Amino acid sequence: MKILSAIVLAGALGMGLIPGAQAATSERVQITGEIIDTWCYVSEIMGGGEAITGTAHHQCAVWCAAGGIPVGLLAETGEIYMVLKLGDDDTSNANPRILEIQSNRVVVEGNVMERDGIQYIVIDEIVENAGITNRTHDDYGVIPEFGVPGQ
Amino acid sequence: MPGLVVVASSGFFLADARAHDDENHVTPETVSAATPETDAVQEPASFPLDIGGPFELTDQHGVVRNHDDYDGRRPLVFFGYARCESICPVALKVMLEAVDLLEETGDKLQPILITIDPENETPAVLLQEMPRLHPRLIGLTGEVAAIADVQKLFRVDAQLTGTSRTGNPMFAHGSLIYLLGANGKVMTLLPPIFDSKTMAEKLRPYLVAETVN
Repeated sequence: MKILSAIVLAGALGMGLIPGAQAATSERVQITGEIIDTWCYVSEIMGGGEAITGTAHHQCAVWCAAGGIPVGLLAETGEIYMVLKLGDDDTSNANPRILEIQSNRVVVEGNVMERDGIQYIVIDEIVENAGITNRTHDDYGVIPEFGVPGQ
Repeated sequence: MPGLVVVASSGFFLADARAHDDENHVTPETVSAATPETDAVQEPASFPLDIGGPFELTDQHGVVRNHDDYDGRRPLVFFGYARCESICPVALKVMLEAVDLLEETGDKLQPILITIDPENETPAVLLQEMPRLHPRLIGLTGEVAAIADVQKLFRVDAQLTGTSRTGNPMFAHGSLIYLLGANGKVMTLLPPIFDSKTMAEKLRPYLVAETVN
């Protein structure tokens, strides 16, 4: 995990060293984490926490991403990075490539920037992809229940 | 590394639902409190990615509008389609509530919907649909090529995915919300995942800076 430079930047923001809304530079990082559905995870509209990650929320996460909800990268340290761009694609929104990696545990390289308290990441490369490894449905079932095919 | 402690306790990261240390546990509630500082107000820089730019489209009244044509109100733009039955109404609701919250404190924004379905959403269609969403919402449309050019400026992808049960076309499309500055450049963008109060808090510093300057 090489998020140290991003942490330093955010630390400077937190301490008020960089004034106002304009503070934003880009830092090169490598991050390990899971691609998540940011809407449901952050809003807690379907409850919160681990149940809104992994296999329990995979179907809904794919639907949200397909509809254009920005996906996030939930780092193993707990930070969320909004994915702005993936590879050479012009956008990550409603991007079919994103659908293929939704809920996957990945190692990515790219650039992180902070704006208005939000961490954004432009992913240059998915270095590793372990697939869907977070079997949260063992504990939580499928969240929401209408995510079960045929319901 | 002192910065790590400052980061975790200042709420500058979105959320940390996996943290086991209660002192450093950052929840979505603390996301609401994570706003830019407003003490040292100065003109905000554009977003650090090259997004946005000048454009000219037609509103629901048939009037040609550009990126900076709203009586001093900063444009707050969402790309979607007026007859959407899924994500657009939810995202627009939050965006429009944030506009109203900011209006209460004198911070004026111009909410704009740029349709990604110009073939079906003509000015006449938008004239019917906009008041249903908000009295001050401006809908912009244009030739297919003109809309495609604007989508490219703002890196908004959109694909027709099918037809709804009611017969309306369904699109998958980018759902970020853009605050525009000079020449249509994006000052900041927000994902539609926050509540309206949080969104207003994140937008306000840009408008305050403008007032001061």
